[in-house]
Amino acid sequence: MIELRFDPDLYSGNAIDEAAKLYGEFGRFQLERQADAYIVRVETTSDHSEQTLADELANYALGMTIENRTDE
Amino acid sequence: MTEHEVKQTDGAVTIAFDEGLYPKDAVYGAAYIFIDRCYVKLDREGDQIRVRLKLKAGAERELDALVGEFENEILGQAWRRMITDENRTLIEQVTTQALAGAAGPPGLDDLLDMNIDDETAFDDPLGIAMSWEDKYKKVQKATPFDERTEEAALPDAEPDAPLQGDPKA
Repeated sequence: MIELRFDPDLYSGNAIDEAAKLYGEFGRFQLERQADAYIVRVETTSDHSEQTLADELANYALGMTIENRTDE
Repeated sequence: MTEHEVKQTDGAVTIAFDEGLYPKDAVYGAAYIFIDRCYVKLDREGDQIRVRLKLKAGAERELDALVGEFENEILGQAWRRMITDENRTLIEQVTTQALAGAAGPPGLDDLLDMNIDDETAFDDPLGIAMSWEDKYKKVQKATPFDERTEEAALPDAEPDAPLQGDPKA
């Protein structure tokens, strides 16, 4: 299992939720909101490695964060 | 040699940027350009934003080159942002003028919506009552030199009076 930490000042919580939903068919994601971070625990349920899944999720979350920020 | 702190581990590179020099928007702008080529992860540590870049499988780039490209991109983003901030007032003025110009003169609906009474009945918002010359400020044609001198020579002459030496007189 891989644990990802996202700074709430740099990542949008909605974007992380969306990313977890999108990659839900490839793995299991536990989302936790802490005072200083969003925590996502990644576990694969497909042929893809956990690292790839974690990297893809983080990339998608960042892209969504930036796009939503531009729309504002 | 780079000014930023760069660490390379496990096929990934982490670059630290001082947020005072490179605002968050500049980091976002550069990161967005790179997310199709590599995995990008942002973290904060004090006044620094740490950018982790990891090449995607099949990417034909080297990490060192990627660091240089990212630094160039973030510098460009920060610079563009600074120019925009400095010229914000001018940009807003030009945009406002352009939008006001695009709206054009009032149309028929605007006229129908007008409150017309004795005081405003003779207002002419479309400039319909103006003469063509007044409206478009047509430049009057210059009088030829010869005509000017004849008129000037006979200022008080009666139009019907026969000219001296006229054989018909």
